Amino acid sequence: MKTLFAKIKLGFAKVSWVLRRLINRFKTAFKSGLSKVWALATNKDKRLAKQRIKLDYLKDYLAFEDYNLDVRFDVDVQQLRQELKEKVKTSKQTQKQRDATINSLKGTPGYETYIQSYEAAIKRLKDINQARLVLATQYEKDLRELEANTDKRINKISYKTSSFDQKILEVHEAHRQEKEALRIAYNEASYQILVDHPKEDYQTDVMDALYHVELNKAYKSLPIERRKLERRDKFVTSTKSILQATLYLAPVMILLALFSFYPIVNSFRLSIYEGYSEIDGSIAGYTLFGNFINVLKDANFIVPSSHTGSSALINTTLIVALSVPLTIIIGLAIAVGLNSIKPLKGVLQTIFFLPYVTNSLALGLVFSYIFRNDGGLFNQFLKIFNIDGGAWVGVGASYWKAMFVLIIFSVWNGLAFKIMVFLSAIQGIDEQYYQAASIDATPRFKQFRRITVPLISPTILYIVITSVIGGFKTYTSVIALFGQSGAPRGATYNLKTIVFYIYDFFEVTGKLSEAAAASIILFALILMMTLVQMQVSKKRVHY
Amino acid sequence: MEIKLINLTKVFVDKTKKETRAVDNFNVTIPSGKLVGLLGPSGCGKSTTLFMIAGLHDPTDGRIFFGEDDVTRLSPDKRGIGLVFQNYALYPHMTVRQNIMFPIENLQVPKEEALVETQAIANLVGIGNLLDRKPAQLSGGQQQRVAIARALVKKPRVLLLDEPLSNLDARLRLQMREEIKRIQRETGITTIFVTHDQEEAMSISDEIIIMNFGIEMQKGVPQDIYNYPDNLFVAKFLGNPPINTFEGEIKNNFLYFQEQKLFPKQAPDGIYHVGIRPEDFRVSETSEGVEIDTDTMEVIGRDTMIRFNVGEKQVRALVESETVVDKKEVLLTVRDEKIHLFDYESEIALRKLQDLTPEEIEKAREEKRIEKQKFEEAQAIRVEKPKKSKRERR
Repeated sequence: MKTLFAKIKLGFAKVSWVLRRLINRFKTAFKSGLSKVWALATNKDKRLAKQRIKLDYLKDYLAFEDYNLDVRFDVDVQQLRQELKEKVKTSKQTQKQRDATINSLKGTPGYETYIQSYEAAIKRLKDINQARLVLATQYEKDLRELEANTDKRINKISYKTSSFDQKILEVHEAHRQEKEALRIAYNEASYQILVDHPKEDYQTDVMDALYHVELNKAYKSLPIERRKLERRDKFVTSTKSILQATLYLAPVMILLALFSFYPIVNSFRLSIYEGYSEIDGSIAGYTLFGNFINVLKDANFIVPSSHTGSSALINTTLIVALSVPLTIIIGLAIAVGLNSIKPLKGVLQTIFFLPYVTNSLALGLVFSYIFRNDGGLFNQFLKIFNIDGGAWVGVGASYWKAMFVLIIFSVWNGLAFKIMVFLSAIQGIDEQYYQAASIDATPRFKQFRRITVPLISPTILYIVITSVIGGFKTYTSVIALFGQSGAPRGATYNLKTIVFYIYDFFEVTGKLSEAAAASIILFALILMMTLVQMQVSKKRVHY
Repeated sequence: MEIKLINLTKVFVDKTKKETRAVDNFNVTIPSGKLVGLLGPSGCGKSTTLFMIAGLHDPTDGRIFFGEDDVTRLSPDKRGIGLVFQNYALYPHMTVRQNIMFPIENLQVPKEEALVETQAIANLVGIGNLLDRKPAQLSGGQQQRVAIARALVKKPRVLLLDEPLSNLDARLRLQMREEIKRIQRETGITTIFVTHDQEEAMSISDEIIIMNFGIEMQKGVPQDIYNYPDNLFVAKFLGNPPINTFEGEIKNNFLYFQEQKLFPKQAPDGIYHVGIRPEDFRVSETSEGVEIDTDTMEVIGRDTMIRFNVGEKQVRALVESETVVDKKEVLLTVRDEKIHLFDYESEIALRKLQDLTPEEIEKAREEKRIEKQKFEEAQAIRVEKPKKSKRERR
């Protein structure tokens, strides 16, 4: 037996290995292809390098000697750039004028000295650019060396206390200082270059402009491997994550599109059709609010008519308003109780979770037996106290009695899940809060009110919102208790909910457009309720 | 409030019915109004002792007295203690003010009075301006102050601190140490403070109790314990860099190690565990002393760390940099009383051994033997059954 299992395991392992290799191959091929396309499509490396040089230039332009001023640049770099642009523009114009004057001055006395100073200025700028470029290249190289030499692990500092932390921090600090020193040295050298080239007496505007023109050239002569490196780092992370994300999301997105997004769009589409025929898809015309008005006017939707005695909206609201608070209070109480019981905890948890795995139709059957007129468990129980229960779900049951059973059923049906969620939330609370509270002589109920409830308030909000939504969508519990008619036999009222009502439209009367309109109304109702709850809970929920 | 622990014992029983004696017959008296540090390696039972004093753990045996009152069976809220947890346990949904006020709310104090008291205690710990913030908006040090304020606000008879500084960074730790000391002095509450950091305990406590395996190893003023350790464990546990220990021999009032003659020491002949603290070495200015072959020599500012070999044993010496003139030839001496000798079998200090009766010495030696045997058995079990890693199981 053991060997058999081992063989099966080995077989699976082989299959998984082959699959993984295939996927990896496909991945790498796809990625490298994409990376090439990406590299061609975007000139990111170019842009980045350009930006860096521009920033350098900005600093020089504003005569900042220290590169530590990065922060200040961040503040109003946009404005500075704008100013610079304008300046360059005007300087280009002045340069044109200057060229024109040079041309016109040709042959006149003094022309020689003029042209000399002009050329000297240009030469000075070129020299400065050249020298600084060399410096920049060297700086890049040194930095790279420095980075390569530091241990990679040191770059990650964990903030948990450990005996190595101090050491790591020290090394990190030393590295940072080295970098700082290097940078300062290069900045000083850069400034020295500026000083070493004496300024000719010439118009600064033109010099600025020339400087600007030189930038493109300067960036082109930057070391090529640096440019590549920068591009590669950024590219790999981005495409890898996008590709992976798409792959992982694909199954659920496809399913959602088929079964959620399409039906949603479709119901909006249906709600504006008039006289839509299911069979051939033909329509008589369009109407914007016609179907909605039909639904709202309908005798059974909002206003109870004389022959029905109840409406879908009233039924649903009653179920929500009564069953939701009840389940939450009971669920919370049971969860707190379960949490404080030590022996038989597992058994009790299983018992309370059983309704969740039971089919609600089966539950409904059991309930209708419990609440039978004669011989029902509930009526027999009442008999002990000499009370005649009468009809609950059978012939002759009154509206409130039937509603009572329905609400008890909804509470019971949803209780298991809520208990589980509350229990796990309560178990997630740190024991020390209770220890601290017990040292301070806090009574048990106060502990519950001031510690437990606020700390699980996000869970409570989640449960409130989901159970209100669930309550508005009640359908199966009515079917389970009262069958297709949605009412006790021979009753003059019914207990149909909004969803029941929608179902009636397209199943019984075939009015698909009205059904769509009713479901949109239900959606609006739920949305409104949820928004109100979110707003109300803002002050009471502590995340 | 004097705290007295008599024969305090706590035994934990796990699912396989295996017993762990976390605290074993612990007897100690903590003087009133003092700041006492419970120090020991992790797992030595110091936190368990603290929780038993707090009443969160029930002792298996023994009694706890607060002054004259026996509080052994009293529930935590009736003991009049304030406890600061290791991770503070501040209620995250309440503001600092509500957090500090929470304990006195239960004492039926009128609200105005409670508010005034809260402000006063917050000012005492230096967070008077942060009362309207939530704990998540505070730094670690500030959270710790809130926790102390919450423990102090109901004027407890005893303040208990469970590794209060372990979650703070190094600089903040130094600062908070002094703060705790100041707060304790100003309030005069008997304070017990658990830590595994010896430096912390030495600098802050009026008195230290060193624990190991749930047993008190030594109790006293920090500097006394450091200078005169009662046993080998205490000597090894305290001090940074750690003490040099080796098995040496005394012959004719001279210390020998593996037949190599080292320093003079007045003691009866025999084999001992020898401990010499690195900083107790001095560079000899005369020709007396032991010549050493230096392995490495690191100059760390004012001090110089010399590593040298005695036989096969590496020894560290921390001397003042100025005294090292010739780096090639260094002669080291140690003052007689700075050489700590411990009984070879019982590991009790020679100084202490002289006060004991022969029966007691024999008992201590027997206990040590059993302990060693148990340790070896545990090691053997571990060798026999290597735990499979997850990868192997697959």
